[in-house]
Amino acid sequence: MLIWLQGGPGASSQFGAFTEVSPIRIENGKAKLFHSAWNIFGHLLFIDQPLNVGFSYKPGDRQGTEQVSSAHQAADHLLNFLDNFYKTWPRLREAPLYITG
Amino acid sequence: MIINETWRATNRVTLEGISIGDGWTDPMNQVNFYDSFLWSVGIVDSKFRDVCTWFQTNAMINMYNGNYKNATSYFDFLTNNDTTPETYFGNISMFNFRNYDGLDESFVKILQDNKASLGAKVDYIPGNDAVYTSFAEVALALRSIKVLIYNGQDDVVVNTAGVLQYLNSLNWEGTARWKRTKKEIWTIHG
Repeated sequence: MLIWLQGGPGASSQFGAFTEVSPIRIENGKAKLFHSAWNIFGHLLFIDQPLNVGFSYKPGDRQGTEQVSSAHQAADHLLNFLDNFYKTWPRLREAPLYITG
Repeated sequence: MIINETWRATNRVTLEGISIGDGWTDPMNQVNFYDSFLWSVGIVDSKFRDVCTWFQTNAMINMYNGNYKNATSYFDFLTNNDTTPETYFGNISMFNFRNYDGLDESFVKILQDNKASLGAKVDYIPGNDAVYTSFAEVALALRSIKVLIYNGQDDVVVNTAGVLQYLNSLNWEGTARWKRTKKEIWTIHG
């Protein structure tokens, strides 16, 4: 499994999903299929992080205005997400994990 | 890495490795190469190269002093098409100097227009530039897992010279061996 984390730092990973490494990308507003995308290596997981970028938000802050200001805080949130992710998809625990970006 | 240890203990997930492509990992080292890079590929003349030297030096000094906001404005002048008069760099893309188009972010409108069907509760926000990275942690990662570093040779913002500079200055016991290792060429799209 490959997790894609956008650089920036602090940019939403949907940028990578729609313009860089995924099989379906958006070019000039149109969807385009790529046959040599990274999904040939494994499952691709794009995460909107740090909190409140992309479509991510914190309950109680539905406007998504609170800013994460350190990589450590962002990492805590990410770890929490992954914990929940693997609880929801326990079989994926067996897959070797690569963090890319 | 701490993350890996925690996972192993609680979730038994094996983190095999990480990869960093064109990473803005160590700005204080990486900001120092715009003058030589832009000059050597013929984007700026020697006069504007000296202007770049002045801006990048100021960016570095401000970073060193913790004045990130000031550092960002100097950095933006060098790398951001929105704030730099286009005549300085011939309006090239700072992400690929062989192109003139900037980033294609047309996907954002599609996401925004389909917010409801995507189940999104908030507007799409491209990024948060207030997150600071920690250079020293790359060395920590190198000690415990496989790390793949790759860099686009036409990328001006995160240029290869700056990436090599930070890799060479890492406090990492594998540095000498890494310097001796033959680097691979990775070609895509032909």
